[in-house]
Amino acid sequence: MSMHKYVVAVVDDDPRLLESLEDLLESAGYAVRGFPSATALTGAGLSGLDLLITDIGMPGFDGFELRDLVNRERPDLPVFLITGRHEIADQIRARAVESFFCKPFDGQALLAAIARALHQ
Amino acid sequence: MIAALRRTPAALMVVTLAVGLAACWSTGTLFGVLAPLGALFLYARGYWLLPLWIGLLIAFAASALVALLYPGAIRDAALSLGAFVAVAACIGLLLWSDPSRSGRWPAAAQRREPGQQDGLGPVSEHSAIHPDDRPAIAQAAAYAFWTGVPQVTSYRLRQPDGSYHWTELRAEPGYGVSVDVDAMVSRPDDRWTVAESLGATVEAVKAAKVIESLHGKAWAFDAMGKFTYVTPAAQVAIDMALEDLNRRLGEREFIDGGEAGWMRGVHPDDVDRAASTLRHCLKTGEPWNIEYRMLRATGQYVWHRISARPTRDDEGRITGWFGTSIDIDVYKKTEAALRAREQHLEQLIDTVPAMIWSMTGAGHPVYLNRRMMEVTGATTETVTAPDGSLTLKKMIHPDFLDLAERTFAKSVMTGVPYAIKYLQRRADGSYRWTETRAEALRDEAGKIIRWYGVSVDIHDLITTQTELHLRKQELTRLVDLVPSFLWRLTPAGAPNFFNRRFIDFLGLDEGNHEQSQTEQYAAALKAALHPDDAGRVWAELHDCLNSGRPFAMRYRLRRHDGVYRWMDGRAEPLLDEDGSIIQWHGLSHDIDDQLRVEDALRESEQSLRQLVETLPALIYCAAPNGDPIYRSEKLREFLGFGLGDKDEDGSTRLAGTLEAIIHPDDLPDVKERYGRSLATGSPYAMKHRLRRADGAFRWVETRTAPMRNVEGEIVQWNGICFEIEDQVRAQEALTLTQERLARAAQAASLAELSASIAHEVNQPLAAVVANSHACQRWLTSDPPNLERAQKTVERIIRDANSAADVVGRVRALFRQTVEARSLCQLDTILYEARDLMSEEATRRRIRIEINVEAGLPPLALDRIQIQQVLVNLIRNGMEAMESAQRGALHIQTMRSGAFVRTEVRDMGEGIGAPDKVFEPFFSTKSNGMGMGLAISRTIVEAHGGRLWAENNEDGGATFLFTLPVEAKADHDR
Repeated sequence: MSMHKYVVAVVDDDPRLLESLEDLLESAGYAVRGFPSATALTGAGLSGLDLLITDIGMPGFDGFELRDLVNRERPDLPVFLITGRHEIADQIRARAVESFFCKPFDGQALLAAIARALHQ
Repeated sequence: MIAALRRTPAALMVVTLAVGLAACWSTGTLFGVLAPLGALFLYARGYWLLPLWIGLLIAFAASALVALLYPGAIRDAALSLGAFVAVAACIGLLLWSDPSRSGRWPAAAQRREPGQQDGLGPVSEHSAIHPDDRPAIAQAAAYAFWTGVPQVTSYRLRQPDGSYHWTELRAEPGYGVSVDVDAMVSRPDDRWTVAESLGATVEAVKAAKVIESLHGKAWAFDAMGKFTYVTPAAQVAIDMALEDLNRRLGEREFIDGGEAGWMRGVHPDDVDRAASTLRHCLKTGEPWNIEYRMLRATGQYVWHRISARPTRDDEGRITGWFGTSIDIDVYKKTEAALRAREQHLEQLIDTVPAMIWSMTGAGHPVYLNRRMMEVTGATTETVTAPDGSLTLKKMIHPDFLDLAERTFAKSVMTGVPYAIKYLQRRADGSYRWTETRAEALRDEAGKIIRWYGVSVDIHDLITTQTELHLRKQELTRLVDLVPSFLWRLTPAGAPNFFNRRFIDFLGLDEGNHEQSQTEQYAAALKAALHPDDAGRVWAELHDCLNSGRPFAMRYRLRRHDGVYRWMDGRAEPLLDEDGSIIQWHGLSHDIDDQLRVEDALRESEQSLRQLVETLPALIYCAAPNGDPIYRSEKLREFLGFGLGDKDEDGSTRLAGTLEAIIHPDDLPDVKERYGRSLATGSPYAMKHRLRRADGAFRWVETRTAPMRNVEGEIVQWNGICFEIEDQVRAQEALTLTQERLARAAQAASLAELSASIAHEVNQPLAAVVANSHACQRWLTSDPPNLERAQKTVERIIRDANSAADVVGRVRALFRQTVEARSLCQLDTILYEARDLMSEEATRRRIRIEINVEAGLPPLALDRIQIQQVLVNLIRNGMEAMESAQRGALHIQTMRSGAFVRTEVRDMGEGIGAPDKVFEPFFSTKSNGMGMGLAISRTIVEAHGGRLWAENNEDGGATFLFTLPVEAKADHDR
């Protein structure tokens, strides 16, 4: 563990999943900032973030929109998408996107992917 | 004898000389000479006359000279002679100077000397007349002069050969009388006598002869009344000789009351009076003056004026009487004629149908004719004021009195003719219109001597005139008031009369006197006629004027304000007895409004018809018994035949029509239901197949309703028929689609449901997995973070339970059994749902307000399912308000008919498509109990209610669902 802690932002409208992701990421030594919606994240600002994990299905500002926004603002910022909708997951997975996880996801695999993304 | 004497100048001269001398001798005066002197004058002509006058002049001059020179007895004698000469000269002058006094010679042969004066007594003639006849001629002339009765006397005229021929002299008066008088004719053979002895009457006879010489007839009788002398001509005239006159006709003498012969010659009515007065005079010596009718020889009684005077001797005893009788028949007849004429005039005046009156020049009434008195009841007295002047107070109506009196006074003063009309009083007290005119009669000097006036009753005239005037006024008013335009044309077509309304309509200025009225009217008419109509109107009018056929047209006339109005003009000729046109009487009626109404009606009707004909429907009408009376064009086209085409014997039009057009399978039903509607008046509606013109049957929907009048009786049936073939086909297609859709929806719902369930379960599962990894890391870290691991484990338990809950709820959701339903209060479920969501609401800073109507009935519900719906809707609403991060969610529950209605109203941004939100796959929510609105709708509908969404007017959306009060278990679902 280096002295520098990577800051990971998590956006999910389900507080239970938000809690569990914060717990998991903190257990892996990341600094976690949880947001219940995309609006809450954009309100707080993207600066200081090293990685973003967002749920896709959220009322209003959904995960895809948030990713597109972040890609414009901070093209360097890796964005991980998670969803509970398997029909969406099927479509995305067909395009072999690595930064995509389907609920329930494997915590170790998620952490490994995050670590890879941060160290690229 | 006298007649013979008269006819012979020489004899006359001798006799007159003898008589004159005898008179001179008997009276002791010279006056007897007057007779021969008179006779001389009677016959003197030419150079005979001059010595006569010279002699008389010398005698007169000598007498005057002697009377001047010698006083005493000689002077007296000279004076006497002078007077005698003067009288003689006068007689001569009378006889000579006036030829008209004498008769005319009846025979033309007698006028031997042209320019010689006609008449009796020319000297040249005198010698030609037999001397015996000369006195008679003189007497006849004198008598004619005095009496005016023409005297016809025969006398002997000496012929150039010295012989004498009887000829006739007619002596006529010089003045004309308007009476018819027979001439008195004497003949030479007339019988007359002289007395054998004159007795004491010598003096009387002498006097008689003097008189005779003066006026032709005289007589004398003695104191007893016995005639001693009668002028022969007189005897001839009455055809009585002396003997006849004196003949005693009874025992007694005349003087004693007996009858004498002369009395036979007196008119029976007059004879007694004549006789008695004569007897009286004879006895008393009073002069006898009498008039009576004497029988003339011609058989006529002729009026005579008789006068007799006595002669007396020295003792005063009556010695005899002399007298004369003058034929006053002419006078009497003239008088009678005058009287008759006067009477006639009076009758005329009295019978003329006019009231005639006269007044003095000063205006004093003097005469009213009888008619005037009868008609007005006035008399001269009533119209005369006390001072003699005229007063009209009792004659004239008080209203006119002043005017009449003033006019009258003016006329009297100035002499201008008087003329006035006034109401004059009648005898019965009424007043009648009378016209009075008067003009003055003036004397030669121009002074008014009389006013003659006439009053004519003009009451009937005036009242007729007044009546006529009133009638005319009334007619004029009528003509002007008639709400039409009346006009009149001459046979040539020139307008010569417009009534007031027409003049006002055209705005004619009648003050224009430069043109004649006809020209003005013609110009106005020409100007007012609409240019588009003028041609045909004038042509038609011209044609009518020529042919005499009535005129009737519609055309436009310009009103005074410039607006053209439609007129209905008509005119007919007025014919006289022989059929020629006197004038044309016309009437124009303003039909503009009417036309507009008609146009509007026509347009309205046309538009309605167009509406009916263009409506995409088949329209028909039927009589109250159902017989078709109208079919729209579209219906006719559809059926391919008209109204009467299916009429057949023995079948009503209705039955024939129905059988022809209704599908045999539908016919009994249609007949039965249509018949029922016709019988009861209830509207008819049915779907059946209708035969089209090409023979194909098409589905139609027919609806018919009765049209009723104000009494409520059915007057007509109006029907409409829609072709619903397409609709029926579409319905069939729709049904198929719906079935396919239902199956698809079922499949879709399952997929959605499973996806939802998966999502619901995945959420807590994902949390559990993530927490498990975290826990593992906390435990495997060096040193192990037990505290965090503990906390994480708690979360794992919580989330796992949550997943189990989901499974439980899914189970409950599909536990669609009625047994699960129980009567429960909806508000209780509502409050439970709110409690479930309160934590989340607090976190989202959203207030949940609940408003439940009191006294809602308990409903038969599946408590868990309805709670799930409510939680779903509440979460849905809160999520909608997420961006606001505050606000209130209003939940309201109330009774709505047979349902209880619940509204969940949020203050979010609303929803794009309120119906789409219920569709499968619409929702992309990934958290919470998001089983989707589709599941909620399924639940509500399973309860017999409905779930839908609406956008609020003031923003946000409202989700509403109803639940039936009496839940009908829908076992089939």
